[in-house]
Amino acid sequence: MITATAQVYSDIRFRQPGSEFSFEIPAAPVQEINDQPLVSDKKLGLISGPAGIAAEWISTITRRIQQSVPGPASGTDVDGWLDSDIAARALGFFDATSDVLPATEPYLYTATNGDLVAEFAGRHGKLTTVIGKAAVNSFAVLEGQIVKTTLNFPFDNVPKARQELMQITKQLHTGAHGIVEA
Amino acid sequence: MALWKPNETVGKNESIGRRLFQRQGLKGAKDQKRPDRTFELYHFEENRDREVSIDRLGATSIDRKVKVYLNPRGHHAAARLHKSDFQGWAATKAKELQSPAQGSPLEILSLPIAAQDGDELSENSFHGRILTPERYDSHDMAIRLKYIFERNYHLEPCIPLDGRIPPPPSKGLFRRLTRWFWTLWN
Repeated sequence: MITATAQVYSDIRFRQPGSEFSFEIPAAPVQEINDQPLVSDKKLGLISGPAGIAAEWISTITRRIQQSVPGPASGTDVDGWLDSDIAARALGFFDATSDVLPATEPYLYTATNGDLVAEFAGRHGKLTTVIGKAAVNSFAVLEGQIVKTTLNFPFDNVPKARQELMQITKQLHTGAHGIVEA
Repeated sequence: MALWKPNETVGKNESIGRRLFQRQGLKGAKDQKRPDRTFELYHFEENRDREVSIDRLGATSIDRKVKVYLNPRGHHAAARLHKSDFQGWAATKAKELQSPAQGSPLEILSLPIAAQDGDELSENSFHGRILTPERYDSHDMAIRLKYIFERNYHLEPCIPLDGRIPPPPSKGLFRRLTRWFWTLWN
């Protein structure tokens, strides 16, 4: 069957382009064009590409992170405070990815070593993001299987990480298919 | 009836528990609600080495006598090592780790601890350790354990130091009635 099909296709010949048909574009009427750009043109000029819409929770999470960084008068109590470097990295990470993360607000706390943990819940699983000084590790648990995504600082490959997070978020919402354990 | 004497190998039907110690949440996130029936990553992180300590809570279910034995040790560890309060245990069956439905099995070793420097509460005949696979870092292991323990969520509460039995959870009509009777009784 395959051989026969291949034979049929090898018999097809392509006509020389333009040998049978010719297209003539009618001349457009000459119009006066105003060279002065409109206000809206200037605004459009600032947009370099498709812009994501930040998650609804971004302002709440930003406030919680900022208010968890100790100020000069915070005293010696270390519990409950977040390292300022980790806070800055967390804000950068959420700024770059909130639009591809789950829509539900994450639950925040710190790991034993001070890394920031953000936990998202989805219909079909959970996503736990651990933000440290060197990297952001995201662990998705989909139908009992763990998928790990790492984004190193300085952000080395945001588009790839966004793509992976977007896929994980979609799977959290719709269910997992073809996931390999980390 | 005598106190359970655990075997050298951890049986699949044994109840195992990871001690939970209270920790302050983020200062700026006091307004967030903790999700129900979840543990936190630090509950399963180990500071001292790569193996994760657990208590063997009973041969087939949580043994009350074993719990009474372990309870003061949990409070002792909380005060001495963690400078916080002991809350109880995240509990599950050993088979959930040893032969999970998905993912590679985790090995649990029996490692009883003898009393140190005459400190009776440092002894633990029911101590065990979960071995961390070579390819896992501490976060990987903690995540794996967190989700295994959350799958069949069971928080076994500690017995408070004043000896009063903690109230049962208040969800559901039966539990609310039980709680009401408990409140009257106490």
